[in-house]
Amino acid sequence: GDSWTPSEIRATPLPLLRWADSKDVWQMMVYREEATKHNRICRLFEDPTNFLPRMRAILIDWIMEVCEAYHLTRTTFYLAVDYIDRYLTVNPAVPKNQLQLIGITALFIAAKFEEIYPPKLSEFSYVCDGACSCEDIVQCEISILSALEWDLNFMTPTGWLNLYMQIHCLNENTGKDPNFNF
Amino acid sequence: MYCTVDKSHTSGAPATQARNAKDDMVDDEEWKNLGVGLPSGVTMREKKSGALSRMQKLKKRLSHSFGRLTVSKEDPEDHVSGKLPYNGYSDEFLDRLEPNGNIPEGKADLKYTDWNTVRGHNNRVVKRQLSVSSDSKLLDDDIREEARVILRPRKPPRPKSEVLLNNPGSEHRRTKRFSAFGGDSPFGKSEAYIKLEQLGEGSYATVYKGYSNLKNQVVALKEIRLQEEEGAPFTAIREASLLKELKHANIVTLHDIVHTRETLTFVFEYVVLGTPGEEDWPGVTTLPGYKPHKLGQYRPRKLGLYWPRLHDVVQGEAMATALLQLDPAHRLGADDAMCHPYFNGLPKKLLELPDDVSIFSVEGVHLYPEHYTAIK
Repeated sequence: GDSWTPSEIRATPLPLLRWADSKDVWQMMVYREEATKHNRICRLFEDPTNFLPRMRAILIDWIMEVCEAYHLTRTTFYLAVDYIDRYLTVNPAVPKNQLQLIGITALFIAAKFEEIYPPKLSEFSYVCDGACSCEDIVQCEISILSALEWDLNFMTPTGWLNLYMQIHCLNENTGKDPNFNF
Repeated sequence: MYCTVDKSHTSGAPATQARNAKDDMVDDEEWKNLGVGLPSGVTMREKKSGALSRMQKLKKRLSHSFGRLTVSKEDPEDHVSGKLPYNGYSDEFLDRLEPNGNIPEGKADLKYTDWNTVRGHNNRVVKRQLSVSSDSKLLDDDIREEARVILRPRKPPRPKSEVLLNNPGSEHRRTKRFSAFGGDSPFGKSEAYIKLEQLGEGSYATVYKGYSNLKNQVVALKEIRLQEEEGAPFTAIREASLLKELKHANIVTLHDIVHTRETLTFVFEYVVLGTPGEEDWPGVTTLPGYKPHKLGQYRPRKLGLYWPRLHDVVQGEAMATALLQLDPAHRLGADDAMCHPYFNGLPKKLLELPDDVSIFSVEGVHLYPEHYTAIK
């Protein structure tokens, strides 16, 4: 379906924020995490006869390296991992020679979603050393976007961390600097 | 790092000093990996000098590694114990690998780190593992057992997986299925929409009036050409994923997305009031945010055409139209609305009520909850 209601609306554990209603912030963040959770089945990675987890580990290591080489943000990396996991959940029987293509395309989409200056398509193709052409990546983009139902706005760990750091600063600054604002 | 210096003064023992320094470096590295504490730019700049050689190193075809991975040992359970998660391998595990990638007897207990427990720590582990895994030392290189692995009895997959696995045409189907709403949903297919006349054109997309066979209603089709080198434009990716989350009366609703190799079409609700212009809203073109090329050209339609239920109520369409005028000067205000013929059937007393008295205090006035479907 195209809508998802969180199983429960939990009371916000967040303190009072100056820049927004903390209940709204909490619900929105939980929603954005849970909205994508229902199509990411973690059991996919528990079957010991399945090689997917080990391939995934290699793939993600490599993606981490690509992120570093192209100076992509950590958020982009987490988004790409989320896209890969959700895509593999929808298509668990994907041939292993397609995994690198799926990985680089997920990163391509994540970079376009998140980065100010995303690398060019040709640069993504380049790091695959001929394994994935630009044409392959564009074609794969269509199938990933449709498999993910265009739900790309996943709440990444860095998103949570960002909020926690702000709350930490808020606590440290309370009373000291009344003009402090996020 | 300053604390290392402090410790050296107090402890004086070289061994401890070295140990502390090492620990601190590890901590620092972990923080960097987490992207916390230090601006991420710092790490990046340090690495920049080696970018060229790095790029050469990371340029690779992973399928070779995967090929070796898919190969099973004589007894895969030996190195893949069924109970533990094994997304990350510890340093110890990698250090103890035999040249062929096997885990030596008795070292199996060292092979796992729990991916879920300490992310920051594992990030470091994963980084270290990189050179090893990508050089495929981790993996053996015989391929002959591959078929056997595939035939191995497996846990029954979820029903959806079963269909995909057993259907020989599944791959074909996957590439053909462009539905943004997944599965066998009728959405996401271009057959579901009839393209009618063009409504407007911008630098980024062309907007057509269309008809949805699924919802039997008029829609706006925003067609984005994908002639670009870069696949789906990043503006479209952001627009679609953000609009999908937004359901609000004041935000145009994104009904569906049709994605093909040549075009990307967003199916929007049809804006019935039309694009504001000088003829129906004098002065609108001088407003600061007015950008006709972004608005597209919609002609106004009668509200009753889209919401026939307005005809069920006497003066319903007239009232709604009067309230929804683009030009504020012609728009019906709250006070005047009370005198609109739409309310003729109500007790006259209502109009004379003081501001602070509820309308439900008037005899015969009740609130009947109505289902949301009225205007949908």
